[in-house]
Amino acid sequence: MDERAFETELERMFAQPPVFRDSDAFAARVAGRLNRSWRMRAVGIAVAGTVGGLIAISQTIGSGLGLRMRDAQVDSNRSIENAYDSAVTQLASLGGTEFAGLDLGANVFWMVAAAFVLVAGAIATRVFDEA
Amino acid sequence: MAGSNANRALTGLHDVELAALAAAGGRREFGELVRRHSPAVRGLLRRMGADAAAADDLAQDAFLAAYERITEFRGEGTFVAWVRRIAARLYLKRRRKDAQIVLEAEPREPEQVRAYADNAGRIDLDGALNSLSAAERLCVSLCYGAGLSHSEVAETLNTPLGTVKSHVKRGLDKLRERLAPQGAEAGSMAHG
Repeated sequence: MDERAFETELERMFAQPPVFRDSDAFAARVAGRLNRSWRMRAVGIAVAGTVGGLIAISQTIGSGLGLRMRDAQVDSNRSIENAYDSAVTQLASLGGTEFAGLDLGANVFWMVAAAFVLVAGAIATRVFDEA
Repeated sequence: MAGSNANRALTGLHDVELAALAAAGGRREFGELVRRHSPAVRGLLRRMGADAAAADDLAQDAFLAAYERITEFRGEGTFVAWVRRIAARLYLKRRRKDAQIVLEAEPREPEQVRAYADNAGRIDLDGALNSLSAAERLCVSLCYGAGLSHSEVAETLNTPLGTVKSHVKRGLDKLRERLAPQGAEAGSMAHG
């Protein structure tokens, strides 16, 4: 047998694995370690998420974000009411006295906005259904 | 029942398909790959010179490492060859110091030639490998079992390329003598 042929034959012999009677048990051991490692990773991620969440909450509370958001909401409502009053005043000056008598305030604005959102949602749903 | 059907479905899949499913997180699919190829990996590690317990531990670690890196397997070679290379490198990494001592040891005196085939011509590679020195056995197994090149072995072991080549050559010469097709000559020499 020449050198190259012998090397090929040797590779073929190496490729033939010995028979192990405990192959299934070995595979089960690997699966067990794989599952253990996966569970540990999942627990690690959960712990990291919880710790991160707690840190975020403590930072949020510490920075007074809630108070700032409440202030921002009050400012926003005031701006809307001012815009609404200004619009009503302008309409009244144009002769729409009946409209000017209605004291609906900012609630009307929010109701109209909600209606717009609902209509937009309905249109989007229809578009997705047809797509 | 559903489990056995699922197992039957897995056994029908090709290694590349199983590897792709394992890459998507399928641990059952990877388990099927382990079941198929663990004998090849365990066998290689034993042929390289690891004892049974160490070979099994290393084989487990090799499969876990393969699972971690499964996205790197793109089906260019066979899955088993890929895992065997991982296992071989892991073995060398863990035993680099021992392996270097083995490689630097003086080659042992050639023993009396003995044939490693029975009368039916079945060849006992493992028996023949036992007749090589530890360095020859390691180098031959790495090159012909794990598919590493001489340079890769030299680089992994941080050993001169010439040393690796000479171990491989001596090992091959001995194996050729022992594994030669058995005829009348083998009959007279076997187990003598």
